[in-house]
Amino acid sequence: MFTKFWDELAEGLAGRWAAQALGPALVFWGGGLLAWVWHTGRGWQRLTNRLAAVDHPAAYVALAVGGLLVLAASSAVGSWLQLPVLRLLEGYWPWPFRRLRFWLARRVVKRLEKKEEEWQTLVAIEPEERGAEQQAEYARLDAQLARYPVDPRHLMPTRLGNILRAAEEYPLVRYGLTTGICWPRLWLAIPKEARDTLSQARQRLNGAARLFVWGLLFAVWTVWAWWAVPAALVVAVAAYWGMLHAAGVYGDLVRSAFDLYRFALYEQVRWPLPDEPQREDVAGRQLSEYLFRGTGSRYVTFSHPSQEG
Amino acid sequence: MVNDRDILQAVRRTRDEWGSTLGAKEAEDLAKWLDKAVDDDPEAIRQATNRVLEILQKHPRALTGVRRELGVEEIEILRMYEPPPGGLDEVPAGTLMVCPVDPDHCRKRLRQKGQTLFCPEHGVALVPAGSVAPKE
Repeated sequence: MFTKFWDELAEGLAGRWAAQALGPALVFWGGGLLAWVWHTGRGWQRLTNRLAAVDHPAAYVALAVGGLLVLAASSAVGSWLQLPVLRLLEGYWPWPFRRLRFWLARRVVKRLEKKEEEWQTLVAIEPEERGAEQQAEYARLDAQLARYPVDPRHLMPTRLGNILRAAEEYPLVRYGLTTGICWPRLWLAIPKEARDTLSQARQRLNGAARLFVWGLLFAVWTVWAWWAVPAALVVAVAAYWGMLHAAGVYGDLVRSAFDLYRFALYEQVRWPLPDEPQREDVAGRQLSEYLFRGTGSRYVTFSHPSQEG
Repeated sequence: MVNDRDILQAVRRTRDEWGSTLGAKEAEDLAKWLDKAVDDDPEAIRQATNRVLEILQKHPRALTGVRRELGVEEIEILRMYEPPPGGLDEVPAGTLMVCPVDPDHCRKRLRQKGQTLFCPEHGVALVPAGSVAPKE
């Protein structure tokens, strides 16, 4: 019976969900066990002896179920923590650190001004006169600067925060659409395939944030093993790099969703479509105001499909 | 959701049924694409899967057999978006912006819409080049 239980457990753990959700928690507790064994010296021997002394199958089942419950509960805690941690890493800090946030953001402004100057120097050279290195540098700076909000007031103190903030700012700057207001509506208006792609990208970002949480938590095992701190740091740094990449991809997809499907949002709200790109931000701001405040619709007439053509 | 390899394996397992579910030409095409799907080339697998599904879409009975083999009602492929591995190519610079006080002494290019560029000498925001008359 016990073997069957383990077989089924192993089969369950092999699932995608289990691998993603329980994997980091499993590594955390496994690492804790390793640290304890390392600390006690003969801990592994003692543990296996004790387990061998248990002769009742029900005790094994209870142990396995208990272990699984601890794993699931700690995994749930890790999942709850992922969003607050993500926001902290973005730079949304609570009250005592708010000043620090804006002070660091101002330092980012200075760094960006320097990069902007470099870009302006390169752009002043005619494209056909630029050398290969200059061309590559021009493209690199362009890509790098595009990962920061254009409005200095929107800058965040961290790189992760700026990548995500730049993507959130984009619909407002380009189309007058406020992301926080329009995103839930747009989400319902975009095709399933696009939603799936966006969800996968978001899951990847969340997964990296979860890994970061577990990486930091791993440091608690320093009570038993000194190497838990460097191990925790390595995981946290790797997870942060993973978050930067995932945030870049997610941000690009959010931008693309607005580029491609924003008119679906107008159509679903029965809002008249903007006539030309130059005036689109005015229409977008009106629509955002209408959706959030209910005002801004004084000179607007609904555009129902049946009334067209 | 299933992946490309699962789909191709399922199609291979239905090979015995092709005689009754597909025409000779389609069966030949299907076999050709399955042969092209080399195990260590993800792009070849992806391309083969697309073509195999294209063929199967036109033959509901063959598609039903593949669904049965996969144990799914609908074939939904899980494909994660990945950006191209290279960097950004050069994009032409944006609008030429000039100082409204003296359009000739300060000229910068707009990198992104929404950006505000300033003249370091006069401390004023730059404006699009066409909107200011050249200084006499």
